[in-house]
Amino acid sequence: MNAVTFNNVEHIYNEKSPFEIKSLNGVDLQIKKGEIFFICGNTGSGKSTLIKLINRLLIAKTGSIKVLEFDMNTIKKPFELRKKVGMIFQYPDNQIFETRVKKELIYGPEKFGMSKREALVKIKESCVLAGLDYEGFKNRNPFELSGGEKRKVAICSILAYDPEIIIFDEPTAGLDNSSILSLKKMFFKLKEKGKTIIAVSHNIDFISECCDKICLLSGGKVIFSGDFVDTMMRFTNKELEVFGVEKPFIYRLLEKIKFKDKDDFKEKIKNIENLFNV
Amino acid sequence: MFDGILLGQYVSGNSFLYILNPVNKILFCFTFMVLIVCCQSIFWTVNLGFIVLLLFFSAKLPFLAVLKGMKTILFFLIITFIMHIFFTSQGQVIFQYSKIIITLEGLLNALLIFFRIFFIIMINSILTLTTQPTEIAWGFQKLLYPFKIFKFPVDEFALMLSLALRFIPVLFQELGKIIDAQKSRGAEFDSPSFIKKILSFPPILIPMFINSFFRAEEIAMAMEARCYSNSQNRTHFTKIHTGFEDLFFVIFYTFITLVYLYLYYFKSYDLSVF
Ligand SMILES: Nc1ncnc2c1ncn2[C@@H]1O[C@H](COP(=O)(O)OP(=O)(O)OP(=O)(O)O)[C@@H](O)[C@H]1O
Ligand SMILES: [Mg+2]
Repeated sequence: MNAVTFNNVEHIYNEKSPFEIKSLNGVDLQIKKGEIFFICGNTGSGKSTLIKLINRLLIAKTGSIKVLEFDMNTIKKPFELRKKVGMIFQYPDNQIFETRVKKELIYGPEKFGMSKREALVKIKESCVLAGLDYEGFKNRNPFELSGGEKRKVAICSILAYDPEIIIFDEPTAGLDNSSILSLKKMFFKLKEKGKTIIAVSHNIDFISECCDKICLLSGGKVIFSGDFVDTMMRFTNKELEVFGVEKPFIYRLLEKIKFKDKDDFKEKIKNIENLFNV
Repeated sequence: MFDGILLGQYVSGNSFLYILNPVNKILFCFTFMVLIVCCQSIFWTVNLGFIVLLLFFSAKLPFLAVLKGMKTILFFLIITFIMHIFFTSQGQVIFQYSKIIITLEGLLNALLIFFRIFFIIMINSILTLTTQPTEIAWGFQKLLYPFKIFKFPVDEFALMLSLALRFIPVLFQELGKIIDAQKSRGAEFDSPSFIKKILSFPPILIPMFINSFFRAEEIAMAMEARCYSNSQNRTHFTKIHTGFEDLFFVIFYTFITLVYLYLYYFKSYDLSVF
């Protein structure tokens, strides 16, 4: 069962004005339910645009997008959709708008019709999950928090209403290493609960630890998409630049390969031979 | 919500308006605004507006995109228009239905105000579309130079102005982002109910201002880190020249101003009616 399906999607910013910018150019993409799916690509390749389409913050003029049971071409009110698709923005500054952390956290649950008591339980749960000390922070002004703390508040404010699909735009940016570690653990816990996770990231260590599927975006197009190891095997040096690594990284990949059966073994060995030109 | 060109935004291009000296353009805007505000006749206001639109099209400025960006303002403009029609009670009655009275005076007044504000925005769009904020600030600095005699802080004023102008698009972007953030968590802004639309504004405006205060503090620090100070005379990276185009432009709007002064004082046109 697919959580998200993109079919030949195009998107243009500021259409019919002097500032026209084509950001997506025929994107095809499938994301299964319960996956941890990573989207990679150079800056300006259209990653943030793509994920905003999933939440219907942007609307594509051409192509079809299906998210869970919703078809974007026929949907009337995006309310129900947004309840099920939570989105954590690239910059937490853009996401935070209340003057108290507790108000910020309860905004989503309240709008989506949770009772106050229910919401509070959920908020505390998600704070534990994201490693935020709720009691210590609840009366602080979110604008005065540090970058990493803001990110945690932003994550909690989305998890608090328990969406089925959770989208992270560059979640590791501005976090220290131990926070990245707990983020990783959080991803796995969310996956255990059956959530679909879509994340934009370039942190190759982070990706290789918790990624199921990956896609590479370039110039508004998906050029690779699929199983992590298989996809990475097909990358050339140029495409690996996205992650700031070069071929030697391949060795790390080799350690991770698992063979299913004899045929699988043969095929993968062939891939490796190609890679090393032997 | 805010597509098209935002008010006060610069759009690069290469028509004659781009070559003109900013001082010249500011003077033009100022004279035309004074003319429009002083003109009490709809006919002559529209005439003046027509000249502005002519400038707009001859310079190939994106008229439709500007209109699109004006959507919100047009909305308020139309409300004032309607209020004017219904709340003016003096004058010749042209329509009456129980307590609702529409007078000729009210209708003409409403039209006049509508055209005035619309054309004033258009005039200023000519300036802001074709002049970069830094150039506008530079222009004001030059224009205010004589006031230095009275110890008026011209340089500080110009800096303040250029920062303020720079912040207009930032504010709008900030607004868009906050709307996105609230939308994605279940707020609904496209409600057809007018009351709901109005009520949805305070919750986005307050965070917008808080956010921009924090942003302003960071900009101040960034400027200080690069040793910005007003004590020395500032040099400018781009030199702005004055050419023949400027001369023609000055002649053009001085001529129009004279024509209007002539109409106003010597012909004393009946100014309240057509
Ligand atoms: N609000 C906007 N208005 C106009 N153009 C935009 C807007 N947002 C993004 N773009 C443009 O669309 C293209 C894709 O932008 P997008 O934000 O999706 O990139 P990205 O892959 O997320 O990059 P990054 O890694 O830097 O976040 C870019 O060329 C960008 O300049
Ligand atoms: Mg982005």
